[in-house]
Amino acid sequence: MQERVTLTSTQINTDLLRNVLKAPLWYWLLMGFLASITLAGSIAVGFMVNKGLGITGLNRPVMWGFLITDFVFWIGISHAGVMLSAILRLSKAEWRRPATRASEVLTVFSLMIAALHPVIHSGRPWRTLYWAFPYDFSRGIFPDIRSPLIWDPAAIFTYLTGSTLFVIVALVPDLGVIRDRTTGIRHHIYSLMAMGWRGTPRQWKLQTIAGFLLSALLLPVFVSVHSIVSWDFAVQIGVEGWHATIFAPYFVIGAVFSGVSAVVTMVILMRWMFKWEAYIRAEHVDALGRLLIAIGTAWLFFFFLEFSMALYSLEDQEIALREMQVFTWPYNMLFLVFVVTGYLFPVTMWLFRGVRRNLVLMLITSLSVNVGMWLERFLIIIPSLARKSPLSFDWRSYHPSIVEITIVLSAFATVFLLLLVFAKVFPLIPLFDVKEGQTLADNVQIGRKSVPALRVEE
Amino acid sequence: MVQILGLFKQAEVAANATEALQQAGYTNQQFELLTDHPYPDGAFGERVTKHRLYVFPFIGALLGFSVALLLTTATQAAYPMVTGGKPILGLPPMIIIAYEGTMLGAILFTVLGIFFESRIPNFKAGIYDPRITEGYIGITLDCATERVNAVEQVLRRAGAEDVLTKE
Amino acid sequence: MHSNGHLAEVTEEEFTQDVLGRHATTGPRYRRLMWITGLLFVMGIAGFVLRAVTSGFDEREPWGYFAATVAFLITTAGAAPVVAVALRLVKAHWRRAMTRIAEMYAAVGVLTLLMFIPLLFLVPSAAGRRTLWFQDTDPPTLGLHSSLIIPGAPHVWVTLQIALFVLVSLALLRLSARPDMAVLRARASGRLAAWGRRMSAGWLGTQKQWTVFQVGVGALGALFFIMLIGTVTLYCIDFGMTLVPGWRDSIFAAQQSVNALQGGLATTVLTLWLVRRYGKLEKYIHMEHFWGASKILLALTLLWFYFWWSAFIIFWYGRQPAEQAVLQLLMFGPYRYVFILAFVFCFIAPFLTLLWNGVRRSTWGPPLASAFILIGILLDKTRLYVAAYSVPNDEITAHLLEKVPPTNYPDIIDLMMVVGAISGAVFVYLVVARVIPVFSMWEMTEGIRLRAVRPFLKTKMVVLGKPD
Repeated sequence: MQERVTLTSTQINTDLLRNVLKAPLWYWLLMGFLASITLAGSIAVGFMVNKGLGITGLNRPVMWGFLITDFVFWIGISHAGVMLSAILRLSKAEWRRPATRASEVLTVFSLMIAALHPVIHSGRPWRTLYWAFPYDFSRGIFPDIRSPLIWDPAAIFTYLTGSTLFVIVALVPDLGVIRDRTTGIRHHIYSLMAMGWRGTPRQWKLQTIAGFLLSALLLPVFVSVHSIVSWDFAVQIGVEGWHATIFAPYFVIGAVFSGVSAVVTMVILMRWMFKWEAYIRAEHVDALGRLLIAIGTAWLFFFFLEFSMALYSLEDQEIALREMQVFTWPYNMLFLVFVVTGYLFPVTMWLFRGVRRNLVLMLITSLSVNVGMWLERFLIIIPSLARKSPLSFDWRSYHPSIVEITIVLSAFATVFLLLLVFAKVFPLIPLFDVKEGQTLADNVQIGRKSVPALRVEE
Repeated sequence: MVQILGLFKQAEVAANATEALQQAGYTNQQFELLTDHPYPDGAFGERVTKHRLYVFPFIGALLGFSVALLLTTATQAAYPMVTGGKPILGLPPMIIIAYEGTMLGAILFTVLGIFFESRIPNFKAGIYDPRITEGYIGITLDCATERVNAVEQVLRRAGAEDVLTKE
Repeated sequence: MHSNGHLAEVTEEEFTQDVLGRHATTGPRYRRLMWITGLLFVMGIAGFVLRAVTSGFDEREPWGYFAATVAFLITTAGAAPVVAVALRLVKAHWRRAMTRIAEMYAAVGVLTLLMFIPLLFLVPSAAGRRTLWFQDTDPPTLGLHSSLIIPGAPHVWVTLQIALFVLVSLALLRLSARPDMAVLRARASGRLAAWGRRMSAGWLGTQKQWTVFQVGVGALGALFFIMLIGTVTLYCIDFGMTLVPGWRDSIFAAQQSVNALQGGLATTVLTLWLVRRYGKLEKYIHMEHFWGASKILLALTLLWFYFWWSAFIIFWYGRQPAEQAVLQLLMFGPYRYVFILAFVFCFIAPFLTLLWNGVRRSTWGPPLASAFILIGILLDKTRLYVAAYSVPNDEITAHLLEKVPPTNYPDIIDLMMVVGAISGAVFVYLVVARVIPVFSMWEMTEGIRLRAVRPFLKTKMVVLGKPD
């Protein structure tokens, strides 16, 4: 069922720029609240830098904890943007229109936050620069490019640069609209950012091609980013459970699953917060829900292969690790929650059309996926490290400290805050894209039924 | 020369106006359309856009690949330390960095290409009216001072809501 | 014909008439091809009998090429119907001309199933070795005590999987052809009409029948997809990977599954081109069909590389003896030239072909890339399965491959079997294309109804209906 709404350009501008031009009081209060959590996180980071990593729950042999879990999680969320906006653009799916920019922006902010995690985790953030980038010509010491920890910054840097530019390029026409609707200093700032945009056929043509071309270029980058994150774990042989060939696509598909779920969460919140009922409709969420069933089930296939092929090895250590993940407290409880919230509950729910078209249920299920996917990363990282290897002389388990918990929570608040700041300055739904959708909508008459149709170029 | 901008409320009327302009002796090379969202190619009988955007990513990719290859080779050669029994210049890790470099180069050059081919930034681009972003279609052309009135008449007769001029 | 090749203005009636007219006759060239492929098929059967008599079923090595061919058939013809299933699911308009062409490959499944049976005698039971079925193992796996035996593993379960897969694909073809059979019943004559009467099974085209039909095609499609992945997974693990000690590659089944999607699409695209060229169906098969398929083919080609690389980098980095041995066996040792050629034909050649927009938007580019891919898949399966089957019987329970076996070059019997099996698949397809219309007529006519060309301002645009 498609619930088409006919809108004029002025109406679209007014609706989608309402928050940019004049945000309500609650918006500022919400930003203030989130900023305070971000501040708490910053203080925790400062405290950690000052006191050292000893104040975290990290212990030999578990030297990667909450921060690295959270790093993998946010890298995962950052896969929403390109996956959705690029694939839907390339396949010319009509229902992409209200979700593209939101997902691209989510990519940029979650990627920024993700990239901060290993830097913070290093305990000496200022040193990470010369660990990762080859600039130390004076001493002649250079990063070892054979380490995946060097591939990671290269990939993240490429992806962050690319996706930020992607957002900026697609923003230019909308900046022209804001320029035309503002006065005074704001008008001058937006005029500068709009770079003299007029909307000639040439500019529009380039804008359309840019969408396709950048999508096509960013897709292989996005695949590489999470693959490389997985190789941070998988290329070594010392830790059980990590040295698996499937890790790269398994991480990517998991990332896409959690990322698209995050986009569902985000568009539903956008609809409620900005009263965009005419733009984000049940049909869009329904389509995302159907897409998620496919992605989720593909993820399950990879999960199955990863798990069964670990047992296939028939090696004591590997099997003991899986027994720990599945049967030992507290991992067994976390494993159960992960399987239920990550797949069984949401995907079963989405099978029903009524659920896919119910925004409250979609919000709950999409959040549920991300609870599951966070736990998945936790269960990949911690139990593997917590195993006693032949060379461990000292063997303790891991409990996150309040500092780590604060940082993890503040990461969520910071991403949300950054999104709110963005939505205060720029429209979260591309205006011209929605307008184009209006122009291309048509109908085909079959008997007495009018079927929604789309104009395409001959 | 004077710049003239005719503003049309409806796309159909604007499309007819381009025809009226052509009858008045102006080819589609001479007038320009201004719209608030992309229309299909040729919807207003406008001139076909030619561009070379596709060249940009290839140049960028080549540059990015070369730089990445140079960087990986040079840094490893400058600080040769064997790790994990792998060769100093091991191809697989070099390929990964080179791949990221290639893509980065391609993306950067594509974006440059988009701006270059879109002819932005350009703050003196010519006559404009904020009503365009509210859905009006603008038709703009340059003409000699003595012909301004005639063109204005053509545009108004074709259904322009407003006609603006700029020296 | 329009510039990007959308369906020219044809009425439903003209289309039906045309297709039925062509379907009623068989040209001399078609008959000749049936004869040639049929004879080659018989030669293949002779090759099989010779191999069975001369080598028996005790050693696996003589059967490597045979096993590779079965894998090739599953990956190409077996997977082809997935094109119809997936494109129906996403409601792509350009699918309509190729859904039946893809689905008819279901019939080849019968041949694949028959060819699979001898392999059952070659693969040892799961007991005492690394398999997916975890039995008789020490240490016991995850609560599965070592005394627990899964009866018949892996043979019964893989057979069941492949049989179900073939059944589901045939059922999908049978169901989706039903409305077209009713057209044959009503408008063809002689034996074709009688055949149509039987196969249409009382199809009247009532609202209720259509509703049930749509749900059925969707559900069988989903089931087909699951069965395809299951079949590829079990076959490549149980009849490939487990035969090499120390080959523990969790991505392998996923890689083979993605390869099956690539192979299925390539098979369909190449067949589409042949049908268009030799069936003189340029009126209905256009550049847009090849263009639509080419973008997905390009993505799947890139994925081939990605999955291969993901496995390779782990082995290259791990450098454990078992990993080194597997790399030697499958890539850089006795089969390195086959591997290099497979790499070129599965990835480099189709990638460099499909990279260009102009080539993708042509009627020859995507089929050319598809031909590369099919050659590549045959080579790829050869280096995987011939290598795996060359590991001697007594080493199969070892922890790692101590000694990489030498190259197993094909002899004349191997060539007879490979050529015969592929010709057999073509032969089966040619037979089926005589009794089932090569176009999914209900989808084509639906496409004609849902499409219009209308003026839009100063240009003309195609309007495509997107029903729910």
